[in-house]
Amino acid sequence: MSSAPESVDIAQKPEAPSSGAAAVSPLRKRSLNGVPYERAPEIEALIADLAVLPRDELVARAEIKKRSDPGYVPSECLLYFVRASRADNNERWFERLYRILAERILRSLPRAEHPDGKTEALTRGVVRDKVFARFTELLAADRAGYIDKLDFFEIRFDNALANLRRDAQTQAWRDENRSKPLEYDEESGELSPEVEAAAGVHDPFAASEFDDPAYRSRLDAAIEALPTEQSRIIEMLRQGFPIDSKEPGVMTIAKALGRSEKTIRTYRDKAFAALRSAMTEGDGQ
Amino acid sequence: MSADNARPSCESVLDAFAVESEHGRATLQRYLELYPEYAGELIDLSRELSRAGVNDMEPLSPADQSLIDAAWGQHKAAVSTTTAAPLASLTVDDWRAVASELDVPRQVVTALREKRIALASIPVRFLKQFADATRSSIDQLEAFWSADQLAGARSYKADGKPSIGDQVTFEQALIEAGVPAEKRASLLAEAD
Repeated sequence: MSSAPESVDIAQKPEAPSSGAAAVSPLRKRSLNGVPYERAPEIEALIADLAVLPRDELVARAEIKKRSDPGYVPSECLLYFVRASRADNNERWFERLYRILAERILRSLPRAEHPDGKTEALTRGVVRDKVFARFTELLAADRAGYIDKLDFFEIRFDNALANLRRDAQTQAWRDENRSKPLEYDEESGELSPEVEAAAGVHDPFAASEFDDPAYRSRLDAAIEALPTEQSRIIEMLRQGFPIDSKEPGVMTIAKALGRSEKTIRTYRDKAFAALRSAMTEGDGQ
Repeated sequence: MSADNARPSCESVLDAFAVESEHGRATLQRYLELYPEYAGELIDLSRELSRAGVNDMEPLSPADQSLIDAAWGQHKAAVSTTTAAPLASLTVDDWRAVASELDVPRQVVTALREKRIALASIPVRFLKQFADATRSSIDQLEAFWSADQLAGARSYKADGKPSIGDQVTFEQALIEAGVPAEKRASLLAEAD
């Protein structure tokens, strides 16, 4: 319905802010190999298009919440404008963009009151607060002086945010003392017959509902609730790494985590059992 | 593989991994082999990256609204330092990049940074390019020039406040830096 103004003709926008029409400042961050990072070409092109829109129009576009809307402004672009307008004296317009970006961050982080287990929900609230605080700190610092860590958010916003989430989660776990597997002795590892039976039948990634977003989100929450070592094993299994291998060059779970094959198998079975019980409790199944 | 001997920090490895274009087994394996010391963190990040994205469409709670208000308050407070020293955060590499972007000798950029060039003598077109290259604005640069403190590392050498007498014109600075006449003319031009 909307006349998607994706292809604005740069030359024909006389009311554009006078800022040197669509020259997009490059990123400063360099990769581990010293190569300067670049934005995705489509992001760069969209920034150039958006830069020449009248401000109100840009704000209206930025306010679109649905990612599937053709007028949606990806957060990579929105962040570009928030960072670029540090140089702008018009605080009101800048404030509007800032608030939209801040709101997006909150909307992308699972809320504490999500109806899963109590402990996870609590951690989730802590993670949400930590991520939001960290991101807004970076933005504030960036206003006072260029913070190149924010460049990652202009490259792949969601991924950079996922990294902040991971960081916040690690801190939250440390605070909860969850990183240590408390419930069992690491190497003695004999499983109870119940656990063994449960683990044997349940591979959570093979479930027929795997493509169902609701299933995925519950599974994600259940994995998040596992002790750190177990969730790492689950992630490596999901990625298809073998537990162990006779061939020397092969990356295995045992090698990556510096554990014996037996320990990995024991943890895996514990993890599968825990996931199975998390996935079958509650909604009628 | 990296240019210097120092191992990259965990944070920089994770930042780099996060923005890889894909996060399948091959990418994770490559990072695990290169940075085995960060295996646990890399695997945690891999899991976090695989999670289904959330895009909550519910109205914001009052608590969220006040989080945003507080963040904005903090953000606004960060402004003053920027206006005072918009160029202070640029690193040596950044300055090198600014010089090459503007296609002038580094000496000229240094003179600009240290406010040894009279602002009024700089063509607006060039000033705008300088502002863009340093991710600041003409307004900020004007405020920066009119601030009575010298910015930059060499400021300690000044005994008193610098006066206009310490400044040279933009053209003079170009001549001193050995910029050829033709190039000078194009830098001094107000329009292309």
